[in-house]
Amino acid sequence: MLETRSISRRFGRTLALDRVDFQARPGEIHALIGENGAGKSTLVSIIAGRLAADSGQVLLDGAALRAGVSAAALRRARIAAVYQSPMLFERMTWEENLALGGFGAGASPRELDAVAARARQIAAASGFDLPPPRALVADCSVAERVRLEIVRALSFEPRVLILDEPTSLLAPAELKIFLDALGRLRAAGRIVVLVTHKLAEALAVADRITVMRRGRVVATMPAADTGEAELARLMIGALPGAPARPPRDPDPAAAPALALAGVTLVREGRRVLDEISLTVRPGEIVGLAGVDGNGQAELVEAIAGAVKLDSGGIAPAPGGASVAVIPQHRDRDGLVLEMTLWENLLLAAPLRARLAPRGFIASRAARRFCAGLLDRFAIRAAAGSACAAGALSGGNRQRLGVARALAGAPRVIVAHDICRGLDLGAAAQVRRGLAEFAAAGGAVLLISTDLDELLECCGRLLVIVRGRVREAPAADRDPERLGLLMAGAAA
Amino acid sequence: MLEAFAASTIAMATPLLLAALGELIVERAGVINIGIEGAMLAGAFAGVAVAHATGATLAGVAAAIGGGVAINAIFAFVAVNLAVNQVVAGTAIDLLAAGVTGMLYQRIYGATGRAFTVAPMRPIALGPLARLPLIGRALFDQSALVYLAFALVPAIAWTIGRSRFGLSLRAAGERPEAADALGLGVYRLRWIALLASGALSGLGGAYLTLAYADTFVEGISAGRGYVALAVVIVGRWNAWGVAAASLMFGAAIALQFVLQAAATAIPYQLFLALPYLLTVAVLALMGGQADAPSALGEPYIRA
Repeated sequence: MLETRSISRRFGRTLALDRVDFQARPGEIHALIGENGAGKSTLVSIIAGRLAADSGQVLLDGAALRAGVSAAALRRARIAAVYQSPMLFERMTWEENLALGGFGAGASPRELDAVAARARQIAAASGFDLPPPRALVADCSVAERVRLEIVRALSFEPRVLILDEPTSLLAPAELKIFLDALGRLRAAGRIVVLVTHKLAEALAVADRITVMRRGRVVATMPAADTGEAELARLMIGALPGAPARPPRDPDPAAAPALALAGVTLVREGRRVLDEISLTVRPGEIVGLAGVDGNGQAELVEAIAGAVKLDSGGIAPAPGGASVAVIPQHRDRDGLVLEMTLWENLLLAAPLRARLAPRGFIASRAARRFCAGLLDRFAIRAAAGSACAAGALSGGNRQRLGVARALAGAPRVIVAHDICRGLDLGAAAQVRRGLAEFAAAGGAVLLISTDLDELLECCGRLLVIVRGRVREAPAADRDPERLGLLMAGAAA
Repeated sequence: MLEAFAASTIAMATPLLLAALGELIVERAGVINIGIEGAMLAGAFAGVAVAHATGATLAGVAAAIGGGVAINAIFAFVAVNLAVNQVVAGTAIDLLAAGVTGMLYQRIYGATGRAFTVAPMRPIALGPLARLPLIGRALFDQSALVYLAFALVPAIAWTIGRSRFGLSLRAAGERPEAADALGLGVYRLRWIALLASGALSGLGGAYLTLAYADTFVEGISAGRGYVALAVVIVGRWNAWGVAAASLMFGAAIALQFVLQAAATAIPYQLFLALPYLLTVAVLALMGGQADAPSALGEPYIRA
């Protein structure tokens, strides 16, 4: 049995965990749910020994675990974790990354082949694919990285496996297989702690569910005895607002706000973007569905003007202020974590024009403006606008990125996996923000692997497969049919 | 003359290679150690002082290793455990080593520095190989430190690229927080790297005083530690590249001797500046830090 007793942890002035008692039994999948900043990630980091608690104890089978465990102790206790932002080494091959895990191997070709062989066994048992041999992690898609991390965690043959929001980027087919794999771990008598914000997933797969709110455990109950409405109420204290409505049909005669014509990008001899033509008109939210790694990231880079196209054109020309891009890797491409929140706002050109006229930063105005945004988007920051971006929890960072894009008053927003890792309340807020933006005449291209999100938010739907984009006929607005299209079936 | 040039190239490349291999190890672990110049100087002085006092060259070499390791232990404590800015800590180490060696030298050998020499390390000729034309004397009739330096190249390349320890070391240099999450012990890895680097820098210093100059003068390392930093960059953080870059810089220094001896109308100071001009020129041409370890120079503090 895994148990925490009265764990507390403070970050600066924020009490992230307040005397948390938590128990998970062998042979159960225990879902840990809660809003952003509720303390889920902090709790699992402490259980995994990555973070020290200010007070309280973690016990495994009645024996207390020392905080900040060594490699040997970690292996003895066999607690393995997959964290929200992948903890992989970008410039090493995936085999080297796994060798650093439970395989405990060196990096000679012979050892790496052995690692790959064992990894393929583990992956096959879980129903995963692995990247091609000797691929660098830097070249792997986000979904591939999540899979690598899970395989690395399993390589420790853990007694306790902690998964912090692992499923947000898995394709529907992979998700099913992954949840089945969790079931197999349970059957083997392991303790699985699944941190998630997807209530349906928690209800479907977990045996018991613990709900956290503002650093405290609010309730623990068998999954069979509860439902989405009750869980949502426990998490946020009230039901989330009505879902965002798809906007009215836009004027078909209106000139497109964003137009791509024959956009092609070749990388290492492969056409990662293949003759992509699409338009987004004012007042419309266009969804782009697809399994991660089919060219979405490159398309976003192209629209942002970060790559040089091999052929084709984009109007308006990339780099202008009228198009705001919210990239997928919010830590890597979107925010400078060492800078304060209000300084991060100034990184966006349109806001810079407003808050730093003639090159001088109006810092008081910028701080006030930032505080207003924090309020409007319910971004929880301990020290307000003077907080470092790195001190925010993942979901709050994402909301800051969205707030910044909307605040710049662009004509077009291109958003990639915008609700990744967000809980119900936050995701609804972000989607409502986009819907309001579209209702006011803005154009949105929403790129996501989450079909439910796209079906809820978008007017038209496009599907991207291996760098090619095509329209999903209106008759195909059905997850099963779209899933087939995403897998590359003929329309 | 070509034979002399080749021999001189190897002789000049060796201390650079020893120091740069050490710097390579620490940089792959994510630490930039500018104090390498100080570690060389400490090794050079400790080596010559002990060799002079005992009359045993081997004791001198051991003392040089000890001097380099001791200096780097100070750096490791300040830069790893206390997480002080590594450039600041390294600069302080350089100044400390220059001051301490200068003071001890004057204390022991008199204010003006009584000229003294030690028995040089004898070249070891490797049989018939040493009689090969042109390269024989350069490659196969050198002191043991030269053979050691070049033998370390494949050994370190293998250790970094292929061994389990090297893999952990690279992990600490790429993403220390992730390495720690896997239980790899970032502080321990960085300490090991710095102590190994101290030994190698000390050996580089020993080469200067025990195998090359046979004496000590203040500041004998003469910026070779800084050149070694450039060697690591030009060598693209790879042991084979570091060896090639050391030879290139060694050749530039050797060329300077040849050109001085040729007695042209060009002022000899210009030739003296050649290796340093080459450093600046090559770094400017190489540009970028694309191959640098991602966490290079960032102090790591455990959460």
